[in-house]
Amino acid sequence: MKLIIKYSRHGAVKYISHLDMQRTFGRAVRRAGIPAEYSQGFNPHIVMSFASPLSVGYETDGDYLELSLAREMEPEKVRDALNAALPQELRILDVHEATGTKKLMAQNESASYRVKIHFKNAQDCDKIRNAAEKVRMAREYAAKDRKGRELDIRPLILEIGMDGDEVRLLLKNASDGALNPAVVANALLLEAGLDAEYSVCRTECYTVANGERIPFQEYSF
Amino acid sequence: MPFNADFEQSLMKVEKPARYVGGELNSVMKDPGEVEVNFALGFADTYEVGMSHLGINILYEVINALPGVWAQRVFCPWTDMISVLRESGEPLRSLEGGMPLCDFDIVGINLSYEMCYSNVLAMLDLGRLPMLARDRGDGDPVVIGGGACTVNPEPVADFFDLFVLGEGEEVTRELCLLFARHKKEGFSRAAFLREAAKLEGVYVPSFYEPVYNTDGTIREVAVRQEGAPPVVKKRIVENFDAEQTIKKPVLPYINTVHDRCTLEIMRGCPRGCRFCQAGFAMRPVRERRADTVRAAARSVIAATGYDEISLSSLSSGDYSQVDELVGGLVREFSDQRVSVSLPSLRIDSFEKDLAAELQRVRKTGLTFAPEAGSQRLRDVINKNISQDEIIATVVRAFESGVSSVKLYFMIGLPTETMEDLDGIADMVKSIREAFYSVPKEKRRGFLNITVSASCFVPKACTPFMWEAQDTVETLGQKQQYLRGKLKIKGVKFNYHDAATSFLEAVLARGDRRLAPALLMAYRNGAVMDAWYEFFSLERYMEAFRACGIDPAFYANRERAAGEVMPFEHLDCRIGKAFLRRERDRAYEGVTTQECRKQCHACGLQDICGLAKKQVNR
Repeated sequence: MKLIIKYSRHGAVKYISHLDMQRTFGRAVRRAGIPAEYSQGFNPHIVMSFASPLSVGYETDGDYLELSLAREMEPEKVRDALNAALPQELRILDVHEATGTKKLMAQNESASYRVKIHFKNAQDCDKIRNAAEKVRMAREYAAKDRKGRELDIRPLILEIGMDGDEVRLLLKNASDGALNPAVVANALLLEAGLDAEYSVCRTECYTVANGERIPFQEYSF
Repeated sequence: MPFNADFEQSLMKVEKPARYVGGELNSVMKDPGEVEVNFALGFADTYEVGMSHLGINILYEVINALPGVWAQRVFCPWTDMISVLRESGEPLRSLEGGMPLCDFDIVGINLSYEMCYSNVLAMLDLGRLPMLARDRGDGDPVVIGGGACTVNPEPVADFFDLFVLGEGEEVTRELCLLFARHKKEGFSRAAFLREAAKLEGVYVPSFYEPVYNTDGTIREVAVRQEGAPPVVKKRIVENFDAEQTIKKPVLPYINTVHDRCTLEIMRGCPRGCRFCQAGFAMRPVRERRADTVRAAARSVIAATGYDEISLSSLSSGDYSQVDELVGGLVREFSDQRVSVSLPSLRIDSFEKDLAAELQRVRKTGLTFAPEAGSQRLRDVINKNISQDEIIATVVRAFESGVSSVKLYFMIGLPTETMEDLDGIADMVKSIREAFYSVPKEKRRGFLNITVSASCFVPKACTPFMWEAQDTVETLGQKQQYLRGKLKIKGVKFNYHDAATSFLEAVLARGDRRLAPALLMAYRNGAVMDAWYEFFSLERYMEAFRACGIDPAFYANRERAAGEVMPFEHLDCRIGKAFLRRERDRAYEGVTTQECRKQCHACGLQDICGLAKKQVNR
């Protein structure tokens, strides 16, 4: 059986890489005594894959991985066993069974983010609000990606707005186009003429089915 | 660990920020209000190296098992983080509680390798401690050194308040208790050190003073403190099998050097390879019982979820219950897909059955250390294996599906000639022929031979401690000669930087006169010297020149038989007469049997279990 597992990560563990996350979850599965399926070959490893790698330094409230089991185990029991085995900073939020054969990774369409900018002055928040509005209204918006290359980010931004003093983003996250929230955050800071640090939290991963955007948690894989 | 927002942002600017944040599974948190002694457990290298160190992991659990004592880890930051700390003015902090190093009661630093000395200075400096012990007052931490380099800690003696010689478990407990008592009664550094010096295995360097001859050699090491022992004996754990070992180790998030469950099965080595410091300094040979090891394995696997168990010792094949232990572990853990590996296996002890057991979960390559290419030179260094045994072993391994072989050699060994180097190439060719002599259907894949050649460094407490090291030029010529000989298909040749080995040789048998040069080299930017990209011999040579030191005096000079060594007052429990005897036998090309077969009265015969067995026989 295949399980779709939704998890969060906060605190110091946000500084680990994608490979470290895979190892951390693999070991938690082993400690929890979950009957995971192993790959064949010289170096058997747990059959597990993540929906979308999370950058070093990002927190999440809505990331996913799929895990194949060699024997049946109730999703709630898997959730509880994993939560007992994981460090507090990693929490399993939901486990549901995949009924079909769809690959988690192939279903990525977009992901939502919360970007908290560490403002030095209260009025800086308004500057970012204006910058976000300008990007929202634009049909094209040139920005530099993390390697310094210029690209039009507007088509990759599905939603942009403010929630209090935090920026909310829904960004394309598919194989034919994806945008890292840091690129948007840097563009907003540049537009606003500010220099500030920020932290990023992914809030959900989405797929599209029959023209409708559905969070992974509600989608049957 | 708790950290402020600025530091958190700077974490995003360094490579592998997870090195600095702690919070790993099984890391120990204690209520600061209930802690009497804060112990910084330091390792003078990166997080990844330190977290792979058996001693650090053992001491972490040993110290944290003491009520009222909290061991928190501190590693040497990578160069990018060193810059961040310097620019931001933030001090170096512990991983668990985020405490600045200078706020600890005790700062213990493991000295695993001479090339980490600059890192020790960086840690003290970044941790806001006075680097020289004599500049530290009653309010500063007591700085303790331990680990492999304490066989001769003299070059760094000025930076430490005390050293633990030998095995740390018991004496660290005693030191913590002693410290707690002194702290309660109003702490005086001088009084604490006087008391500490009475514990077996504790060496307080400020209580001793070397006196030099006009030719630069040492006349004597004078005792300057009443009550301090004239000779400090290294500590040996009384009951190794019963001593606390790793049960619930910290599970690193990031990949470390040895990212697996490491279990210590044996301490000491019966072989007596004459170049090997650990082989003598860690005697006597003691084993942990197979069921004790299995119980530890059960605990560690449950606490971590590791999928590999590595059985650690200096010579695992000499562990008397090796078949029983490996078989038992494989039977118990193969369902959980846990593989078992045996590093430090000697060629002659590698049996086919054992090989098969070890391959049950994961296929691994073979690693052997013949150390020298010719039989003559192997006899000199007492590596008692023959080319025939080597070939027979690799053939068996090739037949069981192994196709990659790693070979470790040393160049610059005493009495070495170019013919001995030719022997290395000949051995590689024979191994190659052996692979192709195995029927095609039995062997697997393509042959891969990696030859690594390190440079011989004469070390204290070995029969070669009187030897001169080859000069950097000679070592370089030998490396190039070998490189030419090893241009063979499927063979990869690696060799160590001779300049690094030269400095290592200076420090390994150095004395206290080197300390100002170490400090100057650090001030001039030396750090992470074990990393090729950061090491600069020129930086040290400049410091030596400025301090009026001739490094060749330490590295390239043969010592007379009667010369007083800088570590003459430190007793590694191996007799000097025995070591000299072994040195003479080396030059005669006479080998010495391993301790299990015959006791050679190395100095530990009164407490060694192997020696007692022979008396009873």
